[in-house]
Amino acid sequence: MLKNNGSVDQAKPREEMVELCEVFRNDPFRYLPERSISCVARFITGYDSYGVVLRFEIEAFKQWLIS
Amino acid sequence: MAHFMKSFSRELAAGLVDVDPAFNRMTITRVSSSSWSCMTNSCALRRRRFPRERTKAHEQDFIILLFALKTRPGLMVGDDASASAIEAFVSGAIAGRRKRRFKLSLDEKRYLRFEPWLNRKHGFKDFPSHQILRILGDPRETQHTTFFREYESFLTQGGRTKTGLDDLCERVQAGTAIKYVRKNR
Repeated sequence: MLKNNGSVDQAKPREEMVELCEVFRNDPFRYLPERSISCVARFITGYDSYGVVLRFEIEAFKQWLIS
Repeated sequence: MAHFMKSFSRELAAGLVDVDPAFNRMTITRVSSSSWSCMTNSCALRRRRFPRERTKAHEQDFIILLFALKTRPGLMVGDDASASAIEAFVSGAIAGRRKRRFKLSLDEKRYLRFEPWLNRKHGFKDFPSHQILRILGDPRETQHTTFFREYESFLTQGGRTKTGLDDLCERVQAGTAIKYVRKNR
């Protein structure tokens, strides 16, 4: 098992995001209590705070959506 | 950031910005409005001006996260602090820690036993906890209040022990900042 002391973020955010989206699409109730956008947003906020940093991916997605 | 660095280097070359050799302090004599907005928006400069105490992810205390969620839900889950939003946030936090291969703490393991406990208490079988709270919650109180009332009851075993969130954590005012710390550690 890979050791991680929390100082170095070893995961790649884009790959993480793709992986999470696959889970949300195929098996949404694995993590989410409800199948809604607000729940996905809250989940990603928690994931971002305590796991892998995804906020830049989300920002990029928002920019892409606006443009 | 690239735009900021470009404008910043231009002003550095023009002699408008003095930089300390140790690069600890920066004196801005005159600066154009566009690059000023870039500077104030720049994370790098903001960090230098207002250094933050950073806690590493593996040192973050799960019970303090819950206490902060209880006292100031708007910071983390926004205005809509429904039971499902709180559960989604906490589920995300736990999934993130698992993904980074951190060992689950006792508090996290205890949280995962909350849903089966709620089912047993109210006579349901494998029912999602946010739906139980929605069904049984008092219409006069918010779902956030119902969630934490039940969770306190779960932690203190119906008020028999002093292991609730308020017993374990406290809110400390440190200057202008507010910190959440564990009481007995």
